[in-house]
Amino acid sequence: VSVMVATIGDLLDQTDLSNTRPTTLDHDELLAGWRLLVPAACRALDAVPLPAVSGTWSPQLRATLRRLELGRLRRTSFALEPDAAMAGVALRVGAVADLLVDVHPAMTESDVASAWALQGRLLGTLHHAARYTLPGVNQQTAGWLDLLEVARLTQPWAGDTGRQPSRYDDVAAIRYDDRSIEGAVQAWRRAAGAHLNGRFRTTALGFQTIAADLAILASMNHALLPEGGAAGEHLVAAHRHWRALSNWPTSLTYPGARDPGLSDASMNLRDAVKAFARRGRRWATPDELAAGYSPRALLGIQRRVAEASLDVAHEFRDALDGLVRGDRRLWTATAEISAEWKQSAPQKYVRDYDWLILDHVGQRAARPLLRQAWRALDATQAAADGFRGLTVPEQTRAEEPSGVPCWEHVPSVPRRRPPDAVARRPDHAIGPRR
Amino acid sequence: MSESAVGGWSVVYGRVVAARASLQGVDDPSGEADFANAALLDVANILEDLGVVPAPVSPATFTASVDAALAILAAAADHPTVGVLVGLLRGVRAG
Repeated sequence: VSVMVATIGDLLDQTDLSNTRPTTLDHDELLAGWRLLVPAACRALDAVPLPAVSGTWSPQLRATLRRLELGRLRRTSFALEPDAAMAGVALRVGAVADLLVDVHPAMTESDVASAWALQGRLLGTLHHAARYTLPGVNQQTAGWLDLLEVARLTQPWAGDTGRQPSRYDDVAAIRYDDRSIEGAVQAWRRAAGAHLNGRFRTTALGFQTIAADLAILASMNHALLPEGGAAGEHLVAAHRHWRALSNWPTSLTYPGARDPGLSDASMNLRDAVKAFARRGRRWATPDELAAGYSPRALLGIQRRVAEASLDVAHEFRDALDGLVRGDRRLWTATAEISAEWKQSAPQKYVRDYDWLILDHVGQRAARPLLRQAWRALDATQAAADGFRGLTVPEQTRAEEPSGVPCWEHVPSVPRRRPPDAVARRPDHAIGPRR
Repeated sequence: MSESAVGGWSVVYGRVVAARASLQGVDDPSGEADFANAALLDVANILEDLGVVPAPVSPATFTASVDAALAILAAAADHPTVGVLVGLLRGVRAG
């Protein structure tokens, strides 16, 4: 088995012109390359999922790039071929922009740090492209001055020093009909999101199914880790919390069967997990998977599983919060409600003979569930952060596709909730103590 | 479907709920319990789709709960959905 997916990290690795020189110093061909690169780069930079208040990139750089794109060339022949290296960079940066379309906005501090890292890599790509083209461009032209300006404005991102691991490096182009674990996870992520965000799709069984799937994914990622460490501990915690969330107390419900799309996605996910990581009635070991997956490919899969789990975990927590405290309310068994409240229950709360919509008092019954969802989300977030801190050493990359997985730890992005996320936490009164 | 059959299916649903509850405390590094839990949710989903409400049943072990559910279903083998449920439960039972 081999996995061939193109990730943002792979694409950006292929856009580095820092050690490349043009084969021909043709002014028009080099600037024609910028005509391809500028729109792709602007799309990619605009798609970096930074919060709007902090995510803007230099208007001066944008204006300079636009001048480069629209500048006049000496030759106007239809036969003019853009420089091949520049065309290749433009193609890949455009692909990065396409992949970023499906990415959720950065919600936590570590996500924002990842987004800054991605923006830095894109700006570094522009810097090296400018330096690559400068020697071949006529110094008496406006294009040469604009290239100098691009190189100057992007200078801070020229080097590798301080480059941070970014969760967005692992975003991959996955075919919708991909039957592998990668395709199944992404299809499941979409189905779970639709279930949790769909006003008329949510059911208690759906929540429990998603939690059960998240427990399986956490267990799988833990089993495939070659050693313990921070990610391992957090995966164990995530597994425990998600498993608990997969079995709601009998006194709470939001009745109905789950959405058929979620059922299909969940069953396909389990089939794909079994095919990928099960050997009979146990998890495969990292050594067993090393025969078919390079360490880098395996780590990529684990990271994408961790990131998809994190996306769904956020949606799960938000959706459950909405059912406990929003305009849609869980139902609770009348046996759980005090006799006094039952006597005075407004008729609108009576849903069924034995069931009532949660009122303010009845919310108590659901608070442990909500606390559990917060704990599960925290553990899932910590596990994803742990995976971002894992890299495959260069010597191991050279040995691909065989070899035993051998990863090293690099300092991870500090995990802290931004102030607004802390403020949103609903449970200053009811949540777990942190 | 007769009233008794509906009641029987409620007990089946109750047994499925009990089987899932019995898995909660299991320390299972092999991951089998997680897959069994998810498969039982598939069974619960079919019953929920049929409008069945779980009946309260006494707590029991995982195996005892699944076997009890299978025994009830064996008595209603002429219903078209029973074959699907029995197949799923036997899969869970076999691991």
